[in-house]
Order: sequence, then C-alpha cells, then structure tokens
Amino acid sequence: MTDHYAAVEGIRMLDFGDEWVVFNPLSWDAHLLNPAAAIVLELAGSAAQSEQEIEACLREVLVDAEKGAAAEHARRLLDELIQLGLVRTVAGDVATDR
Amino acid sequence: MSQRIAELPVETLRAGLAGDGLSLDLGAARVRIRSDVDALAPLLKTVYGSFTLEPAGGVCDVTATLRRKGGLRRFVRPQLEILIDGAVDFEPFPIDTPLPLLEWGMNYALAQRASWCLLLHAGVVERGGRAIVLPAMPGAGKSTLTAALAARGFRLLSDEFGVVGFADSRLTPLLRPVALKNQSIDVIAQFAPDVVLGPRYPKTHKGTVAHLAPALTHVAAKHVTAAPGLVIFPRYVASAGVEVEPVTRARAFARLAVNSFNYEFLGALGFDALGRLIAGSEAYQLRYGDLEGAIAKIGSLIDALPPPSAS
Repeated sequence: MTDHYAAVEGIRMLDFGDEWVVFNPLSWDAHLLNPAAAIVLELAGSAAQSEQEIEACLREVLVDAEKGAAAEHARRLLDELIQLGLVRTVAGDVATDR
Repeated sequence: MSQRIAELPVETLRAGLAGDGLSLDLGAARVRIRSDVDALAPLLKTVYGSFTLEPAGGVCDVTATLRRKGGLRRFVRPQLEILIDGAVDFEPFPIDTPLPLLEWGMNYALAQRASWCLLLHAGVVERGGRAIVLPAMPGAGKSTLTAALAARGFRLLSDEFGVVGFADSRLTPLLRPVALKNQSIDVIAQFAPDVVLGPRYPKTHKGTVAHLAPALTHVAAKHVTAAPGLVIFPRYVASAGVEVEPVTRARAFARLAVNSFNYEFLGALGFDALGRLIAGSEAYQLRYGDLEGAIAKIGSLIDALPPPSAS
C-alpha cells in the first residue's frame, strides 16, 4: 500500500508572490515557503496525495532543467513539510477512501 | 467641553492624582494615574497638556500609582515606586525621575494587557488616511524619526505601540508622549523648535531621556484609525544620506512578527491581522543620516499609494 500525504487541518497560507507565509495551527509557528513548497502544501491540502502524484505535479511546474529531478524535489519537500508539522502521512487505505 | 490638562491649575491636578486619580483616554486604551508625588502634576500638565480628563470612576485598562517608597531608606536616598493595578513590578527609581518611571511603567502594563489587538513595538504616523509603521529595532532611531515626522505634518498615532485591529488590520492611535533619548533630544529640539519637551532626565538606565508632548490636533484624532500603508524599517547611519530598499512582504511579515509584543500568544488571530497589514502595505528598509531627506522620501512613498478605501 502506498503512503499518502495530507496537509494538517487549519493551515493558513498567505501568497506574497515569490514567497508564502504559512501558519501552522498546531504549533502556531509561521513559516516562509518558496513557491514549490507552497504548491506541494496546497496540493496536499486539497486531498491526500501519493508521492508520485506530487512528483507529477512538480514536473508540470518546474523549469525544463529541473523536471528530471522532480522525484527528488518531491521527496525532499515532503520530508521538510513533515518535519515542520505541516504535512502528515496518511495510511494508503484511508487515503484511497477519499 | 472638557478642559485640556494644560489649562487646569496644578493644584487641581494634584488633588486628582491624590484622590480618585486622573483618567486619560489615549485612544486604544484608557489609563488612570494616581500619585502622592507633588512634582508629577506640573510634568503631566506639560507632556499630557493636550489631553482632557475623563470622568473619575470610569473603566480603565491600567491604573498606575506612583508613590514615594517607604522605609528608613527614604531619609537617606528617597525613591519612587510604581504600582500597576496595585502590584509592584518594578525596581524603585530615584525620587527625581517621576515621569520616566510613570512612562516606563505604563509602557510595560500596556504591552502586557493589550489582548484586544495585535501589538507591535513600533512608532506609527499617518498621512492621507494611510499608516506608516516604523518598527523598533536596536539603533533604528525609531523615536527620532517618529517625532520628526509628527513635527512635519504627519499625524502621530504612537511612538511605542502599533495597535493593529483583529477585524480589519487598521491602526488605532495609542497616544503618549514620545520618549526621546540622548542625542535625539537635541536633534528634535533643533529640528522642530516649537515642539513641547518635558525636562531632561540624565543617568536613567537608557541614558538621558526627555518626553515630547503630542500635539493637540493629534490628540483630538485619537480615535481616528488609519489603513495600512507603509512598513518602514529605519536605521540611522550618520554617514548615509537617504537610501531606500524594498523588503519583500514575506520578510516584512517575519520581522514584524518577532517585533510584536503579543503575536506569539494570538495564534491565527495574530497571523491574520499581521497578514492583512502586510498585504495592504509596501515595505522598505530605510537607511538615513539626513532627517529632512528621510521625511521627504517617506512622504513621496506614502503619497504614491492609492487612497485607502472608506472604512
């Protein structure tokens, strides 16, 4: 079963163009995110996503030179967002019930 | 219409201080001042002269009581102490520094109590309905710049507190005397000879301090809020002329969040209020050595913004 990833509930996001400010409702911390991280977080906020779905999304928005590293970017961004407490892992069978 | 404090006899003020206290409406907060210190009344007459007294017995956010400290020491080295709502939170001050102690005590109390708003540590002035927030950073020259702007026609909202509303992120005045320190006192005295300055207090823990009285027109507008406009991070550099550099909104958000007295206690309320303030503002880093030039630059930046929508 593939793990899925979902944004924690209650996140607030402010789009300031090149940077985003995100409020973590659990820690009350605010974080600055770059657009790629913000895209992943928004995607994970709409519905739980598999790593492959996130990778596919990143491949669409990354510049050509970066597209080949989309899988690497997806993994790194997920790890960072999980570490910040903004994204959590959802068991595969729960995620597929959506 | 109530009389201004400047028009009241010193004896009337002393009697009020010794009795129920003098209640003042500062805009975003009301305070009550009580004292048995004779020297305080003429000082209040000078630096709070444009305020009117509120009816005694009303609800106040803070009651500050300044009194002579008891004990044997009073015969050798007399001191003052301040009680905030009956509690002593400060070390005593020398007897000849009633105004600095009162002002610092009230600053402390207001910073602790203001749970009805997002409270930034910042000077705030207004022009054309839009606020200019000047966050306090060490060495920034925030009070000097705030006082100079107020002396050149910008409306003073506060020298110390940026009061940001939860509902709309508009800035509300919290008017108090501007505390000028060290060289800033002479700078402002020469820059604006008509301003009303209280006495100089040397050898305080912040050096020499003097208090600038808010102008009557600013006090009269103490309930008039201002829309977000500019966030200016000032830094006084003697050798600089006037240098302005844009700051991204995300960076400005982060700098204001750590500069706030209560952001970390407010959760989503504080995040939303600060987010709206930043979204509605342009942010700049200002390095200045030329005060007139800095004021002209800030004026051109604020005048270039579209008028705020009606509140």
